Amino acid sequence: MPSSVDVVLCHCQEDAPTQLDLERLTEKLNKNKKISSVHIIDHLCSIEGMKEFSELVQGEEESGLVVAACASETLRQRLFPHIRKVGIVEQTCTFFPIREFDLWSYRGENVLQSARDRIKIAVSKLRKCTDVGNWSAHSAVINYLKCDKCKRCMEECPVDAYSLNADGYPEVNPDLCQRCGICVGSCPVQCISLPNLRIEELSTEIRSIKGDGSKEPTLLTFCCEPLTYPALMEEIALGTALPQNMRVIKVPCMGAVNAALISDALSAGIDGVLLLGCDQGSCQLRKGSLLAKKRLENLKETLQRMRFENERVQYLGWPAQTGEGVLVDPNLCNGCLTCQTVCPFDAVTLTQKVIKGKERFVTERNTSACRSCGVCVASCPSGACQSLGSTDTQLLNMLDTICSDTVKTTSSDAVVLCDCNGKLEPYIDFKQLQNDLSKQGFGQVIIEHHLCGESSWHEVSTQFNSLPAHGVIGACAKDFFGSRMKTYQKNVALGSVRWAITDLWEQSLIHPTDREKATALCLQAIHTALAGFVNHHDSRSKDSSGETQFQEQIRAYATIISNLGPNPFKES
Amino acid sequence: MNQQLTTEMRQIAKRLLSSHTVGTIIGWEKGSRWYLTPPAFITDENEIDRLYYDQFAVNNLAIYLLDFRHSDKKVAVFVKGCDSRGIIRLIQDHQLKKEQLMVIGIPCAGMFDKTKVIDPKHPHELPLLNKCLECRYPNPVYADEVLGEVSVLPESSRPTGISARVATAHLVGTRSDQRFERVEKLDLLPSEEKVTLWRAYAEKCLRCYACRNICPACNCEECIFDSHKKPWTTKAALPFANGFFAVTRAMHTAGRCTECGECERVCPVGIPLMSLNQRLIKTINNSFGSYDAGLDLELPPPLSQFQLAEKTEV
Amino acid sequence: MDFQSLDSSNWQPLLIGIICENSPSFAMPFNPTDEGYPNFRCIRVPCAGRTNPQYILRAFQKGADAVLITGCPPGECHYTSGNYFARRRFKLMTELLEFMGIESERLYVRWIKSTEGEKLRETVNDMAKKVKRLGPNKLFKEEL
Repeated sequence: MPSSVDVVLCHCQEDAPTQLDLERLTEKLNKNKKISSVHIIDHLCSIEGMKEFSELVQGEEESGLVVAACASETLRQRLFPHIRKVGIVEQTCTFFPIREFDLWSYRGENVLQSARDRIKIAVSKLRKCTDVGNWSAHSAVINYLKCDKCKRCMEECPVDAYSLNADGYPEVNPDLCQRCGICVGSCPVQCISLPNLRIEELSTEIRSIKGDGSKEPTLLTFCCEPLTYPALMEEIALGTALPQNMRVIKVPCMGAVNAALISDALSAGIDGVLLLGCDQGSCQLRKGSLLAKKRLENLKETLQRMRFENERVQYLGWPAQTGEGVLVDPNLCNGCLTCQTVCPFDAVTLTQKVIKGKERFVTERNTSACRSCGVCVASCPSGACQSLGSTDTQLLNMLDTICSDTVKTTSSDAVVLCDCNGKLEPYIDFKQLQNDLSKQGFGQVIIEHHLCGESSWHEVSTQFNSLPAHGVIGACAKDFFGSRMKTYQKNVALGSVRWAITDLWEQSLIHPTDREKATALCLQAIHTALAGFVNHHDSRSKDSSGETQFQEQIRAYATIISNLGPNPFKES
Repeated sequence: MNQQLTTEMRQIAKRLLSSHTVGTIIGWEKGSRWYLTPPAFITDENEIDRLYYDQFAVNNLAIYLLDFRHSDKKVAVFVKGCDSRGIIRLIQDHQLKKEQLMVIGIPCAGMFDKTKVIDPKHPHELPLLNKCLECRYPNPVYADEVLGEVSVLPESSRPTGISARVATAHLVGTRSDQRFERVEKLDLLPSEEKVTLWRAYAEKCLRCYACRNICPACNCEECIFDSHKKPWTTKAALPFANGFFAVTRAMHTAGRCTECGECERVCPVGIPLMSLNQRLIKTINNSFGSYDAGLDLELPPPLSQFQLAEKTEV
Repeated sequence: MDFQSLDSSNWQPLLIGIICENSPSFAMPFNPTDEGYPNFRCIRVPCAGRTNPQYILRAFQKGADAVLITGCPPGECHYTSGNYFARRRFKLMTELLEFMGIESERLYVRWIKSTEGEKLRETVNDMAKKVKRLGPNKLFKEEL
């Protein structure tokens, strides 16, 4: 158990409409006895930020670490080598997405309060970290002291990874274990854990959820890692606001949600528990959604005994499509059904069409189940299936570009570069880049300073002489940046342009001391991004007018819980 | 023996056509030379005497069924052991339904190697094709009717039927344990020699697509190599593009090849195409478990499934 | 940067990567001792299951000397089973290409977690070292 927890706050350079007063937040956090120190680092994903971070974590192997920054997978990957080098165990370090779950999803004045709350919860969870031994495992681990040999885990494991050992206790075959957590969810005595899913910690986390004291109901939402967690992030990036007191916990699969956690939540005063998982197209290796629904059914009795209304706990299947989708060209489709056999999410449907006068069976996709993984695309011998965003033509064009160092440009191709308020200038020669790109035939090359802000996009739109067909953005960390930009682009009438994004920080990190080489790498990256556009595109654009389906459903759920009234166990 | 089989063929054909059970019969007929017995398509009862069977009836007739995919009348087809696996291939790929077909199994004593003909005018002794010596499925694996007393056996077996004795005398299937010999020999060559060898073959290739056209596993409505849209590779017969074609075709049919050997037989420039297919079959057998395509309709092909723990680690 | 330099002593191998989106980004400071880094370029695909084995041929056609395919380790695929299909496909492709003369050191298939950036870097360096000894690839290369 870490004796102390350090908190690192990132002074993000993002030009967001809401800003977090980090100094005041530090003040409040310092009052918390569980936190040993709070540090503010400027721009954690920059080279200086990372250097500062690595110096900070030296000698901190014994403490836990909460990094409250963005949810960027990129950030996590960049900081991990530093954490590992110092010897900090991965599981004592949490990357808390304060940008997505606070700045982006929150509206109103209590941004500071909620930030403090959420960091407090992350800290409490880390302090409960036990069992260092389990963290080196790569599959499920059973605490044999608590196991009572009921064998429920064996029955429910979707890949039959459990077998009985000589003493009659269940044992996991690590070669088969998919880390789905279904056994964690099934165990009636909660004695199974995964390296990144420990019930005691989750319990602590849940019990420290307090809400902001307003009348808004506290809603605990479980999200699954493969589908709803990234989908939820994408929703937030596109501008959806979450209900004020909604807290999100990520689990590997809905089947990993142990019924005990739900009872814990309700006894701790949480007003509603929502399981946000898959509905159509459950991951075929897991089938956790079916188990989760069954567990909720069984839970109804317990809820009644605790005098809770059934509606407080619900399962919601993610309503929208994830990814850009897969299109099947009926002229090419053979009806061989290879795609249906390989699809991990049961998303292939058969339909009859008349092609060239003959009636034929061809396949289509169930858009609620399809996740655009592309396994069908690679299995289809005739190339009838294509995943939008990574069609064969796009990938082949990109391969050609990276191998040959050249790309075809037209005057309707534009580039918008961001020097991150000047922070990238020491590493990349923007003037050189602009010159090279113009010489290579890009119609318009614009340099901006704070592309993450809406005002910058106003600037960009005024600088365009004509509306480009394709635009390449060279800016910072890709995760959700593109989605965030979509709203700004639409507002300045640049929504019809097709945009690709490349991360200039990534190139500068490869050659932090050689400006020329880094600039050349950026040039290459922009070429590759341009090559990824198809000439004749078939992509569907998301209907972003009005509420999204998810927003509708969340609002409906929150209203139901509101109408039920507050949880009688809630502390006033 | 050939005479008897031919007679039975004609009898069945007459029965099927006159009763209007089928609209077309696909079989073989005697060609213009003593060593040619090409495919025949009979729709008229009066033409059934064209049908003929001997040890030159090597063509795999399964592929022609694709032309009758949308026919409203049934089609009858005569199949040897290797051909019948092609039928299963087509059914498993959802290109045909069993109800559209009347599959007639015929025994096989092995097919002679036409390339060894010396005298085009006068018949003489010929050896069997290598694939017949290595044959593990001399009996039809699927048939609605049979002739020549052949048994329908969905597993690897010895020849049955009235030609069984001749088949055994000709050593059909005696080298089945050595069917990967050629592949193993080629595998032992040093890399530079392999490169030289396959470059030479790539230069020979005409991109005539005979191998693709004759293959039952190649049943796409529109082949990617015919498409004008996909920029996979140029249609020009350049060595690098020909190499691309050969490897792609081998990979697309991987796990689905029924080892009928037609691709290599029809290649006008003599590229050892079956060695590519057999190399893949060897990997499948070693790494994913023994598998013969075109036998079991229920079992998905190896590339459409997986095991969680496999000895494929690279 | 010209990779097909006529002067063989200056020849730098072209290493191409087809990397799944969950694989680590290769943004790590380039060490002068890194043999692989400057010559390594990659494209991203959603999942290793999306990678068509024919992309390897395309890379060799356009001048690559070695190709790296990565995906998530078995049991950890973001799409649950894409990497299992990829594992089978690439086993076949590797052995087929070796049969035709492409040395096994030219084609790497590796399963790398998103937090194992170091492993990616080591793999790329290992690839570069081995390929430098083998020389440029000649099979399937496009002649113009």
